[in-house]
Amino acid sequence: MKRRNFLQTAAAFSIPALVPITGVRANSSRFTSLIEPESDRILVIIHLFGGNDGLNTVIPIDRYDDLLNVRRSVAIEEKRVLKLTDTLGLHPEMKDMKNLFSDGRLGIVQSVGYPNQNRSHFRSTDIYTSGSAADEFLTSGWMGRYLETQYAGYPAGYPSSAEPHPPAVSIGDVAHPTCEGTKINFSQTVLDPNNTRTLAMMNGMSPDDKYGEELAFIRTTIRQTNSYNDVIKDAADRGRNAVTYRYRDESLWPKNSSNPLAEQLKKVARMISGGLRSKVYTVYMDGFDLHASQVVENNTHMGTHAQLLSDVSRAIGDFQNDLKAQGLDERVLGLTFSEFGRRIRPNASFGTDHGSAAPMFLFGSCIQSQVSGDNVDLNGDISQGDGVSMQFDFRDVYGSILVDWFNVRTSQVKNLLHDGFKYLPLTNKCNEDDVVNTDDTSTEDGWTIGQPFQSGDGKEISISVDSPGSNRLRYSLFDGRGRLVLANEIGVEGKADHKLFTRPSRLPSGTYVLRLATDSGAALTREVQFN
Amino acid sequence: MSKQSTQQPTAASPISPYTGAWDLEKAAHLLRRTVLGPSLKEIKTAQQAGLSATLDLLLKSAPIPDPPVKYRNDYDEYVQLGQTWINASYKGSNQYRGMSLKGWYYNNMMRVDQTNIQERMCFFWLNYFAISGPLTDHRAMYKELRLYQELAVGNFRTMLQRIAVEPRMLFCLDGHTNHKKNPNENFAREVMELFTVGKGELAGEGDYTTFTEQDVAALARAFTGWRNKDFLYSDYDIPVESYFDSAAHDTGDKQLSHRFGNKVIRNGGANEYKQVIDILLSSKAAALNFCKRLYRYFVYYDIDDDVLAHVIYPLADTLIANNFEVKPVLRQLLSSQHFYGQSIRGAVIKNPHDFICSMVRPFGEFWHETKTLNLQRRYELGNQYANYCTELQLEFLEPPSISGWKAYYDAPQYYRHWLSPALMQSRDRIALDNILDEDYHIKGDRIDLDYYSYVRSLSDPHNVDKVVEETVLVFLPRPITSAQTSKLRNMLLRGAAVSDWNWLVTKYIQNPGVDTYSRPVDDRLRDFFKVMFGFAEFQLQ
Repeated sequence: MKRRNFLQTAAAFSIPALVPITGVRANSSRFTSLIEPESDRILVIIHLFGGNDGLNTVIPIDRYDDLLNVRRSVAIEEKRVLKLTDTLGLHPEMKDMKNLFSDGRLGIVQSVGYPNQNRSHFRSTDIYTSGSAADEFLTSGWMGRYLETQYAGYPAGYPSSAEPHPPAVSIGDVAHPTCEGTKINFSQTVLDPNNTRTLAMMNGMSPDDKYGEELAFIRTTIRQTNSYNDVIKDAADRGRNAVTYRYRDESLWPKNSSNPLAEQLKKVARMISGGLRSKVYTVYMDGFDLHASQVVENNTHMGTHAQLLSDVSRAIGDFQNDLKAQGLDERVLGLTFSEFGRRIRPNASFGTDHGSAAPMFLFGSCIQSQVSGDNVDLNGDISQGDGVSMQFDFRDVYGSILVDWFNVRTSQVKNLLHDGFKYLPLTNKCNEDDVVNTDDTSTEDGWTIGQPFQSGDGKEISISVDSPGSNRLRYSLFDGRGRLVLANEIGVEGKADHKLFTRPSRLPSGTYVLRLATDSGAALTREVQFN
Repeated sequence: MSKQSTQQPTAASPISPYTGAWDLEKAAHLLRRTVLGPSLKEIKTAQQAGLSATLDLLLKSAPIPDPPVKYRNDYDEYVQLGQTWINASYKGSNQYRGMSLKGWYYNNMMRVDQTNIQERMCFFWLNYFAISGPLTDHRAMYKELRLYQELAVGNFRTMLQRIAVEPRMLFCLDGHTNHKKNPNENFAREVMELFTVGKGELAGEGDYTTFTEQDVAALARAFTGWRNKDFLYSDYDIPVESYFDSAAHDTGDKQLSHRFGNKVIRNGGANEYKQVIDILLSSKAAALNFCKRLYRYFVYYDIDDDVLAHVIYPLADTLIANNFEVKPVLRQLLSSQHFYGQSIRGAVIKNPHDFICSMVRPFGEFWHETKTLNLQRRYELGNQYANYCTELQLEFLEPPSISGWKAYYDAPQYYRHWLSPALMQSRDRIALDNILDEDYHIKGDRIDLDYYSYVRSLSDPHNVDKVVEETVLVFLPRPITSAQTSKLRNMLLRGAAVSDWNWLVTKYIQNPGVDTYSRPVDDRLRDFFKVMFGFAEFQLQ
C-alpha cells in the first residue's frame, strides 16, 4: 500500500505543491490530480431542510427594481445587502460568508434545481439526496452509490485494518439518506464524538431465516458502532478546534444560546483534525419552511430567515477559519443544499411558499468558480405560483464534485447520477498533475489532441485539436512547483490548429505542465518547454 | 400442556388456519405482535385459552378510554383540575394540554387492565393517515386519536368517510381551501395514492394503472366545499368541527377515467364524498393496498409474489366479502399458518413504542409506585415515555410525512430505519441507564420496576433455571444459546450455588419491602435485565 502511505504523508503537508513523484498515477484517462480516490479529501454536506428562500439569500442587486416589483413585502432593502460584486449580494446577516467570498473561499452556484420541480418537502428531499430525476424513484443516495464503488461488499468485512474508519459520518440520530447504499447506509451516526457508548456484544443463534437476517443486521450495527466509535472517539480526543465557535448572534437570539449548526460543524472539525478519514460528513439544520413571518413587516432584514441565515453564516465562517488555522482547509470541501427554493412572489403572511430552483453554496479553499450562472431573471410576467427557473441541474453540481474532489471519471458519474451529466468547473482549484503523461492522444469523450508546438516567433503555443462538434477547450498552465500560472479557454470546432496563448514575459524558462480539459470534464496533460 | 397436532404438515395455503402446536411460544408471538409488551400472565392465559379464544379477547371492541384531563394546576379558566379539556374553549392559557395528550396516549398504551389490540391498531391508523401539522389545537388532535380508538377494529369504509372530513385532515391536505373555483388536488391525490387504490406502474401519460390524473382532478372537484370552523387560536369558544358549505361545492358532473369504469360522479352535495369513497373501494386495488399495509405492520416488511398471491389476495377477498370490516381480516391473518411460520417469528425490529412498552409493561408498568400515582405523576410518567420515543425518532403526533414512518414503506431498509449507530446507543442508554438503573426519576422521585411482583408471577421463582427460562419467554422472541442462558444465570447467582438463590428468593417473598432481603434480589435482577436488554435479540419481536 505504498500509494496510501505516500498520500497520508502528503496530506500532512499542504496539498498544492507539485511533488515530483513517478509511477504514481491513477488508472484514469482523464487528468489525474494529486489526490487519489484513497486520499483524505472530505466533503461536508449541509442540509438546510424546509426549502430556503434563495432570492433573499443571494440577492441580484443589478435587478433590484424588478425584485421590489415582485416581492416588495419581503425584499431586503438595497442599502442593507452585503455586496459581493457589482451585481450580486448576500443577506445582511451573512457577514461571515461575505468574508469567505472576499477571501476566495466561497462559491455560489445560482439557480440550482431539476426539471419538473416537485414541491413536496419529502419527495424533493428524496430527489436531492438520491440524485434522481423528478419522475425516478431511487432507494439509494448519490453519495452512497459512489461509496459503494470505494468500499466493495460493505458492510461485510468493515471496519478492517486497511479501512478502519467509517466511510461517512452523519451528525445526529439518523443516517443521512445521501449516504444510503443499495444494502445499508454508509454513514455512522454520531451524536457526540467525545461521548460514545459501548454496546454489549454477544453471539447468539444465527438461523437461516428472516429472523436471522434481522439479527445479523443488528449485530453488524452493534459491531460497527463499537469499532467505529473507537476510532471516532480517538479522533475526537486527539483532534482540536483552533477557533471558538460563537454563540448565536446576540442581537437576533437570546444571549448565550448555542448555534446548532456550529455545534455540529465543530464536532466535524474536531474529528477531521484528529485524523478521522471518513470521506463524507453530513450535518442538518431545519426551520427554513417559512410560509409566515419569514421577515418582519417593514423591517425585512429582520425575522426568522435572518436568524437562520445568521446561524448558517457564522457556523460556516467559524468552521472554515478553524480548518484554515489547522491547515486542513484544502482537504475539506463544503456544500449546502435545500430541497427547493421559494416562490418569487411572497404570500400575504410575510412569508414565501414552496418554489423551485435556489442557489447552492460551496465553501473551502479549493473553490474555483466563485459565481456560476446568471442572476435570476425577474423581468416579465411572473405569476403567484412561479418559482425560480433552474440554470444548473443539481446532479451536475454533485457530479462535478465527484470529478474534481474524488477523481471519478465522467463516464462513471453518468452511471452514478445521470446520462446527461455536464461537468461544471466549480472546485478544481487544488487539482494538479502528479505526473506528466503526454502519451494519451484521445479523451474518453471523443476528442483527439496533439502535442503543443511553438508558433509565431516561438513565443506562441499552439495545438492541434479534433473535437466532436463545436466546443470549448479549457487550459491551465502550472509551473514546476505546481502553481497555476495561466488559465483560459478557447472555442474549437472539428479538426484544426489553435493558438492557446503567448508566453507571458513573467514566466521564466523551464518545464511547465499544461492541462487541457474538455467541457464534459475529460482532460489530458501535456508538457511545455520554455527556453 | 399444549395440544400437539398429529397431522403431518401439508401444503395447505399459508392463509389457512394454523393447526400446529399452540404452545407458550406461539401465544407469546401472537401477543407481542398485538399487545405492546405482554406479561407472563397474559402469555400463560392465552396459551391456556387457545388461539381462538385469545383472538376473541384481542379483537373485542374495547371501550374508548376516558379522555385526557387537566393534570396540573396551570391557570386555565375553562377547566378544573381533573376535568377534561377536550371540549373546553381553546382561549386562554392551556400549555399543559399538549403534555396531557401525550401522557394520556402513552398511558393508554401501557395500561395493564386489558389484553386488547386497540392501541396497536390506533397507531396503525395514525401511521396510515399520517396527518401532520399544524400542531396547534390539541382538541383537534384528541378528536383524531379518539376516532382511531373508536374504530380501531372497525370498518375501513367508515374510517375513510370519517377521516375525509376530519378537521385535521382538512388542514393537512388543504381540503379546507378546496373550492369549486380553485380545486385543490392534495387530498384527492393522496386518498387514492396512499389511502385506497395505491399508485401502480406508470402505464401512460398521467396513468398510474390504478388511477389517472383525470381522476385526481375529478375527485378534487367532488371533495370541494368542506370547511373547518374557525377554532384555531379562536377568541371564542368554537368547537373543533368541519362543515359543508354548498356555495363552495362544485355541483357539476365529474367524469372518471377508464380506471374506474368511466363512471360519472353526479352532484351529491354534502354526501358526495361518500359516493367517491364507495367508488374507490369498488376497485380491488384498494383492498389489496390496505391489506399490504396491514401485513407490513403486523407480520413482515417484505411482500414477495408468494405472499402477495397466497396471503394478501385472500385477505383482500375477506375484506371485500365482509363489507370492509377489519376484524375478520385481522382474525384471518392472526390465525393463519403463515403468521406462525418459523421464519417470520421474531423478525420485526421493535418500533420505539414496542421497545419502551416491552421493557415496562411486563412489570405491570409502575402501578406499584404509589408515590407516583397521583394524577400529576401519572401524566408525567406518560410524558417520559413520549420523550423516549421522540428521542428514538417516533414523535407520534408528527409523522415525518403523509406517507407515515419510513419503517412501514421505505424499501429496502423498512424496519431497519428504527436503528442506526446513534439510535442503538440511545436505546441502550434509555434501557440500561434510565429504565433499569436506580437513577430513573420522574421529576425528582426515583422509581423502580416492580421486581417483587414479577418474581411472584413466575411459576417457580426459587429455581434459577426456571427464572431464566420463563423470563426469556416473556422478553425475547426466540430461545437463546446455552452461552447466553448461562450468562443470564450468572447474573442471578453471582458465583453462588443454586440453593443460595432458593434461600434468597424465599426470604425475598416473605419479606416484601425489607431492604435486607429485597436489595440482594432486586440488584441481581437489575443486572440480569441489563444483560438481557443488551442482547441484539431484544430489539426484535
